[in-house]
Amino acid sequence: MVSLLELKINENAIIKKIDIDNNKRLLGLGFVNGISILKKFESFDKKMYAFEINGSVICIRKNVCKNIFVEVGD
Amino acid sequence: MKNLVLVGNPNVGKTTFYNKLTNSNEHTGNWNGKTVGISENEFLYKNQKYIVRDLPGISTLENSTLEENIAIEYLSNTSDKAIVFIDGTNLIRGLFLYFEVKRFVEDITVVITMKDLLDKDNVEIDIELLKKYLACNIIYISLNGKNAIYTILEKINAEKTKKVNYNDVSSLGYEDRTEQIYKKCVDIVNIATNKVYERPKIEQKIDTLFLGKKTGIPLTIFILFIFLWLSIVFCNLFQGILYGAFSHLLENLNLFLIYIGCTNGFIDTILNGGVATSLFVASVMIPPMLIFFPVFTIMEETGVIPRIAFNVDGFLSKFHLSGKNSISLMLGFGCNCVGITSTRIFENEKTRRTAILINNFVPCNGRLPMLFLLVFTFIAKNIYTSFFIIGFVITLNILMALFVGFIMNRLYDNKESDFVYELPVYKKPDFRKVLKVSLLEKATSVILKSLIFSFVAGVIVFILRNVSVDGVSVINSLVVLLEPLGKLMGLSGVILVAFIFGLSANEIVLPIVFMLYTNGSLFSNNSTLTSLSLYGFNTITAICMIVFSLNHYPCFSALMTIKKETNSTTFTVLCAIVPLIIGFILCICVNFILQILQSLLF
Repeated sequence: MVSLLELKINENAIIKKIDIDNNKRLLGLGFVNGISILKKFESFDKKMYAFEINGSVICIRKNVCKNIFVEVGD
Repeated sequence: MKNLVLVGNPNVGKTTFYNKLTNSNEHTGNWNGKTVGISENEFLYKNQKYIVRDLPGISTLENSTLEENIAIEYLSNTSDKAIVFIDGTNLIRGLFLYFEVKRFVEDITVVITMKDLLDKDNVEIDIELLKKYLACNIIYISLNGKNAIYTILEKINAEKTKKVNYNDVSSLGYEDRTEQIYKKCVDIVNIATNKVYERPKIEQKIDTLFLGKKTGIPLTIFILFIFLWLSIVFCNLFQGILYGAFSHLLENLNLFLIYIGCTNGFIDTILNGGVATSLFVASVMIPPMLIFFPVFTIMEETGVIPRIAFNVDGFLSKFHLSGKNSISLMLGFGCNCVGITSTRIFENEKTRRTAILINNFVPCNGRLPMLFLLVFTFIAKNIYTSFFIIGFVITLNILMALFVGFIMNRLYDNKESDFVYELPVYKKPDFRKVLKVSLLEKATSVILKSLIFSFVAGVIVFILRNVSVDGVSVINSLVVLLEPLGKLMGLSGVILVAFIFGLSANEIVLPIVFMLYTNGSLFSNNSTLTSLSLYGFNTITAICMIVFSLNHYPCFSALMTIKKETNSTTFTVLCAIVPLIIGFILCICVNFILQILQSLLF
């Protein structure tokens, strides 16, 4: 299991654990266990990341990404 | 009378549907958070009167954003029929929201949109099967179709929703419930569709470029560069032509009235006060607005704006701000009121207040034309230097806004924002819609508002200039009173008086300066702005005026919007005072430095 920060570009993964206190917004956007992430984009200074999930592209800051853990692979 | 309420994820087409249904002009665009409140209107269909309400786009119903609070408050107290819009390309999220809405509303019709895109990708949805799982009426359609509205209205009326006792998970906490419902949605989608919709390859490639580590920032700068360049070129070309045309028109109108013997004080006030000021404002404002609004609407429609927010987030985080600030700042260029309202996308109240305060430093459509005209006339010699100077000035002011934001966040003790934002799918702009929205709706309303304000202000100034107390006109007394402060700031009493009147609308500042200096002759003798130099208006005055125009209180409408949005008189006053104090200090410093440079160089 790795955090979203460590996920490589174009690597598929399945969300396994979200370790954030108030994650209502993320849950509403589909960041729940068992859902797969398809693609990752990173900003020039690597402070922001964007993920394709359920057909949407959601961008999330580094400090949030480090608390979302995924298992690499489909 | 039947009541309908439109619910759905952001960007599924609710507001577009609402506008078509009710002939309204609610703000639409391809980014999340543009619908910030509940819109309400009526329409008549087959002799049946309907009231329809459009809720802001939401992902869930759990009090985590302002939009969700608004939606929960409405849905928990209504017996309206809900139409839940689901984006067919993103079924899982749409179904999740359907189950969330079902917690509050019983009578639901689901409209699954984007049928055209799914057909293109050979995605098939078994609607009958889906109906069984959702236990409600489902309409599967492309909203672009000519008869989409009628099809939806027919089907809404044709089928009654079955009453079901949903909620085997209602007793669970939000996290567990969300997880279970999401899993259920994934299962339903797997059973009811033959394949998952895949974003077109071209869209993925554009995102690889736009959100790319090395390409994102250069592309963002390039787009903003083109935007500014087009505005300046267009403005430079047409401001003079319009000014000449209006000057000619007013001169002939005056001659005609003299010829028919129709001249008196009242007509003179209306024509050379109100009408002249309005025409001056029109000549200055129309050219930049004709290019600004269409280009900005294209950026909104295509989905570029949220991607710019993604790219600039890292830079803004250095000022304890986030990429979302760039969205409200960009909208502020059109109108500060719109920029202020758009700060509802911020979840934290303190962060939102910071965004509102810094929005006042963005040159809106009332201040931009003045900036352009002053640079063209008094500072730059050609279009290239104009572009460089205007770009430089705007960049400096944005940096000032960010610096104020940084200070505010330190004072508020705001922690680093958890920037989570959805980037919408790219959409090809519909140029007919772009022209209609940008020119017929946005530009026309902004210009009309400015013309009305400038007409009234022009008449008032014209009257005050001619009303004397002890032989001195009221305006002149004020000018004399403010002259020392004006001189200190590199301006004059006349310019400060114009800025006082500019509280009603920023665009009237320049014509009032012109009117007061030239003794009410806004267009006479084919005078142009350069004729102000006869009254001591020079390059230093122009620079100081630009500085003060970008750093002073926002207009009355913007202040009222701040009051409405924050419900705080103290904060509204703060939003007026902070930029004003900064403007005073900057002007005094800039004037001091320029005077020294001038004495050294000449």
